[in-house]
Amino acid sequence: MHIPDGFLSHSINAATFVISVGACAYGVKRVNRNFGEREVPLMGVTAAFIFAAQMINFPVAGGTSGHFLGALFSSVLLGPWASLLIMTIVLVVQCLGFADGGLTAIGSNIFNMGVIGALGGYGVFIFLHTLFQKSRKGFFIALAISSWFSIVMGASAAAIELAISGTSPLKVALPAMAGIHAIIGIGEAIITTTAVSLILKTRPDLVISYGKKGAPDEKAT
Amino acid sequence: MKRRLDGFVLIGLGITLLLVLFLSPFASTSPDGLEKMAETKGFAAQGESWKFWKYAPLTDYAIPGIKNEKVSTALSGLIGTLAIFLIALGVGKLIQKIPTKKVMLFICFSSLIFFSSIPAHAARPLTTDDAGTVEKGEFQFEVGFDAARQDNHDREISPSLTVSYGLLKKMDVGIGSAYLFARPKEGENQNGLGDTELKLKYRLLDEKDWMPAFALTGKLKIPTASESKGLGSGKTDFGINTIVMKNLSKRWVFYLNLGYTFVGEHGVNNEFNYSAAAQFVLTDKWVLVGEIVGVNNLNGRKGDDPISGLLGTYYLITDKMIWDAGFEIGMNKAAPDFRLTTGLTWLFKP
Repeated sequence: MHIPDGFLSHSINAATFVISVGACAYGVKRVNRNFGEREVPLMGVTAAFIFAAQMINFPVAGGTSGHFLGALFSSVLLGPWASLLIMTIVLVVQCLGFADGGLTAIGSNIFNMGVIGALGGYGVFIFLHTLFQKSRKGFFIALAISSWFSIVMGASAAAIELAISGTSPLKVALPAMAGIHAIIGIGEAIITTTAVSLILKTRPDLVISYGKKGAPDEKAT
Repeated sequence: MKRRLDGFVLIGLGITLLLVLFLSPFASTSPDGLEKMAETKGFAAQGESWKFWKYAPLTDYAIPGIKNEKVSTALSGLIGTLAIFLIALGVGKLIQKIPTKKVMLFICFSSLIFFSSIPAHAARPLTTDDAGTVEKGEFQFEVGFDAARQDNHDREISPSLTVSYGLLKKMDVGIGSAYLFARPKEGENQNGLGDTELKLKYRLLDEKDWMPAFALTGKLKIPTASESKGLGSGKTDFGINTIVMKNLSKRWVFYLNLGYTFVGEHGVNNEFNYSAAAQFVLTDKWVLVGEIVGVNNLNGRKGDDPISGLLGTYYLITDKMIWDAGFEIGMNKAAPDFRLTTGLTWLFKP
């Protein structure tokens, strides 16, 4: 769902850019407050893993492919604000280094995958985790559903931006984007839960959102 | 709990490199969800017609010069993965080690530079004042809505109204106040009128050739806020502010403010205020703004001098009506953790 140059209007790009930079700036502040020595290398590996995994497109229905996003994966590992920054780093490198996603649309891409995907997805996760009680099973159900939502919400945001830009009417773009990403989201849910459960088995101390009360960010404040 | 990470980092990176080397060459080459839709709904060409950034070294995950597609993909993925690892590590270290203030300054300025003549009378959502005055005989109404949260989670919501009038060709006068809804984390909620500010602005110099525009304001704070409720100091303050404004190109405008306030309250130092702002005209309707703003009371203690950064935008609904929004982030404890502001400016000539 990396939007290239030319799809979105400058107004949309400007608006999402301002929101994204604002969110990232606030994210820097939160991460600065909460990060210790151990989180920094973890951030490096997580970002590298997300970049690598995003290269591995898997086929979905009708000659379309999808790939892992990793917004929820990094959110449960390092907290939503660090996740937003990781998504931003990955998107900027993909854009500048690999021409994946347009530079004028970078604000929109960070908004869709970082602000909506990571922050919004994590909001859904926290809501569901509280709802399903804080058991191991509840954690994984919340994780699977919220990672599906992170994809579908991000894709829907992209569709709305395309519609406002006049590229494709909403009644065409929204069902098309949300529909195909509802399938890609299943892949996201499978990869996220598998990866997190593997880490939980080997190093449970690294999953910041597991077994903690409330949002992980609150512990240091 | 605090186990060493080296092992995990090495294993994690190892798995990631194996993934990218051996799986990415065999990834599906079908278009992704968005590309597919662009193809079937017929707007794919819009994305191929132009590219803003043409210098990506590894365009489409391939190394130029390597014929074998699978090797090319795997190697470009390897380079990208290692690069991301180092960049994220560097960014993480930077954020963790360097004071937030410096990182934020960097973000604010680099993001403004990234987006490399409209009349400059929209001061909102900036705190920085501009060097323009309201046209003679014209009224300007500014309605604002602010929500701020302090580091200790005290919240304050404040709708505000400022009315300005163009008194002379080069002078305007304004009066403004806010209604405060203070919601401290601990203690009682307080509602009430805030302080009222009376402001006179005079345009000393207009911009000419290389000369920047220059203006002076005098401000009088009338203590209309309740002292007993803790909404104000209950004393009158007087301040002067100097404003420098320079259009650098059709798109860029820079502002500097430097001012001094005589604080009426006993035992409180007089204050210097300073701010720097930049404005970037994106389209004929949209303008982006950013600023760094701070106050220093010269008592030598750094902790009580707020510094914050604001990023915002304004949109010209018509020539006489402007909508704005901004997001301010405090860079130290004395400034709010964050503040959201939005407002409407309306110019009206009776």
